[in-house]
Amino acid sequence: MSALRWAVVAGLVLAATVIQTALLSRSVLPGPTPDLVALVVIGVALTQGANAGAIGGFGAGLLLALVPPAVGPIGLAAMGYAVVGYLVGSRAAGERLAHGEIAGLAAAVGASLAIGTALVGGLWGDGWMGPVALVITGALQATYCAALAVVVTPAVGALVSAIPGRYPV
Amino acid sequence: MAFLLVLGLTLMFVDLLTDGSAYSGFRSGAAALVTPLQAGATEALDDQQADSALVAENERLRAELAAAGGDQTRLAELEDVLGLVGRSGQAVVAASIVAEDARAGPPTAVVIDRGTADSVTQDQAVLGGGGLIGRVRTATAHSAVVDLITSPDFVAGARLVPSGEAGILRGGGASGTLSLQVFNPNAAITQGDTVVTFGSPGNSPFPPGLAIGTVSEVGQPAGPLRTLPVTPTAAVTKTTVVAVVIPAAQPNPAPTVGAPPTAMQPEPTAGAAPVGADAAVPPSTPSPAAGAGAGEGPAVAP
Repeated sequence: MSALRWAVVAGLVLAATVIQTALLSRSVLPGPTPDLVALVVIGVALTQGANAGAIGGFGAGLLLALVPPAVGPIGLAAMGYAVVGYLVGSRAAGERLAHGEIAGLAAAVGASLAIGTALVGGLWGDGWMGPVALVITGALQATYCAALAVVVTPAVGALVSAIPGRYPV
Repeated sequence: MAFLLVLGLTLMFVDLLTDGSAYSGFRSGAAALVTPLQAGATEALDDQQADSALVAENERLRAELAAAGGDQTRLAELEDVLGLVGRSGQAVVAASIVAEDARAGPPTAVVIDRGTADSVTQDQAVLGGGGLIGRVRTATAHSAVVDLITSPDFVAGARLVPSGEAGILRGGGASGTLSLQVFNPNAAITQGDTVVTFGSPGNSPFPPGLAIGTVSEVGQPAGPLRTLPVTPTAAVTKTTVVAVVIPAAQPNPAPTVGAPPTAMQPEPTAGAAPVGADAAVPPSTPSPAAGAGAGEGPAVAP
């Protein structure tokens, strides 16, 4: 990927972080805030491949841990999003996915990250969620991610791919 | 990929081992860069900035009123004292919540749009929605991170109104409730009793007498280490405007070190003592605020 393309990815991740922490967190939707950052990482991984997905995810996770309110230790979210970027990129990069497939993928990613974050938060001392609350949180996050992914993920992929770079997928 | 995992683990262990201090520069840098964006986005969302000072002052008064626990005589007394708020030495700074991280359930911390440039610093009490909602964890020039009372790390000295019993209040984690451990095993407690802050030395982080919540259940029989569930007064995760309590400026404490402050001496005009404290929490312990009272420094100094 070219430096310019990386810059665009960085800008998209930053924008997603701001929208997610400042705007979506104010929404009237019950439960967790939709994980917009994960959708951007999926969009990057689908069009740019596993390595770009992993690196982009790692950077996104670092940013989430640095930007206030900066919950959790630095490096933890980075590893989570890097794994997401790597897995999505290595399984599905370059494939033309239907809307339903993108939604399903985003739902799986959203639920895994939400439940994983809550469980690690429990280990970490953030208090254990009850099993029911955990399932509800995961299900709501999956729903939000699926709904938003249909719009966000293809748009991110198209935007990043439109920037000149050496390895278009 | 393996490299990234090793890097992530390394970063994480450094963060854990140094308790965050290794990255504090990066964190405050990120705050300085991103919080203006967060604040701008929030402002665009709801244009409530003009009212926020009034709303914040109102929050403070509500928090103190709630501490009266509905007791009518005390309420009258409180209304009297509320007139002194302007002179009480404890200013409030209005702030908006501009960001939070709720990817996986209720947030444990929020970001506000006021910082050290507005006298908001570490370990100050934050009010909202009629009660205490948290304390300032860190502050940069124009933003601060507030740990919520529902966060599991939260601990505060507390008192019950009207009984005056003391205890320790802890955040309950993801369930959104708090728990109060009462010191006196034989304390007479009824459902609906108000829990207020005990107060900290120098009013930091907590001035005494701020409403935290109400006892929601008295199921457990009296006994040692009795722990009661407490419902927060404030709708902690639904609050958007908050008031940060700025403790009165401390006189230089150096000359009085070692000399017991004449704390029981009553102060005729409010001084630094907050309203709820004197009205709602009469008993025994010397008000920590009194040591900071004006005019005492010279009296105690040799």
